[in-house]
Amino acid sequence: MSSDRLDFSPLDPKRDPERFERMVRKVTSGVQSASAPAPVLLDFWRWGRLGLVAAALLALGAWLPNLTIGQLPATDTVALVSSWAQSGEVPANVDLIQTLGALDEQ
Amino acid sequence: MADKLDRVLIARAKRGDVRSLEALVRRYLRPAFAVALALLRNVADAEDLAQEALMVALQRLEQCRDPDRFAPWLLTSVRHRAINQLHQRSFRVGVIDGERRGENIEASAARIDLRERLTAALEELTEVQREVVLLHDLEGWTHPEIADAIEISEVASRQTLFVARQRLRRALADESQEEARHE
Repeated sequence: MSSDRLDFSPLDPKRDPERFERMVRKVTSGVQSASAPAPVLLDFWRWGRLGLVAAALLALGAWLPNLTIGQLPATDTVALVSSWAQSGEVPANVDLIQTLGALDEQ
Repeated sequence: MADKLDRVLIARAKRGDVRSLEALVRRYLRPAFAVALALLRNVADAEDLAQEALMVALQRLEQCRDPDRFAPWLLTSVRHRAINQLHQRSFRVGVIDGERRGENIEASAARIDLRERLTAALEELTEVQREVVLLHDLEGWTHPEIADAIEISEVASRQTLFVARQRLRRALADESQEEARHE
């Protein structure tokens, strides 16, 4: 079978080893340069990520107290009633009806 | 082709190992060229396209999930690029640009003549015949490797090679006779 092989050496890119090596280097360096991010982009990405973390922390710091204080009366009606009882506070009629209604639903 | 070495090279190249990357380029530049030449029928364009397609494929190596299928994956990409190029441009068929290649035109005249005769003879074949004969006779791939890479059966690969060689030999002989008649 191999004796039937046609001679394609005139078309062979490896016929000129130096030129073939240049082609190999060109492709390899092209792959490398494309996969390495540009320094400016890399800096932007790093600082952007830090900025994102800082913004998330600030938002958390600002909202956490609101969340914990605001959620208690709305979600935990039992805690609200007990807080009235402990403090001796007389709730408004509207608050009382809403709270008792919520207790009924539970 | 799709063997353990490929898997190792691809895994290392994905981790940024330059030597493995270079080894993959050495391994697949000529097969990529063979398929590009089969479609474009122009040596210079096929070389350019093979380099470009291989570069892009290796940049997107993460997308090649099955390293055993690297060759078919790459050659499919080469084929698509070549088809796109054929649609977009009109090609000079069989013309070799000696200056562009940086070769001494006088010294390479005989080689260029041979190249022109071969590319002209390749014109007589279908795309699949060109792919099979170039991958087999230029790159030295076996029929199972060719069958796997271009998604035909081994039997079809053998038959295609047989017919392609016959037609090429006939075309080259006809050219020789034509030249002798002119002289």
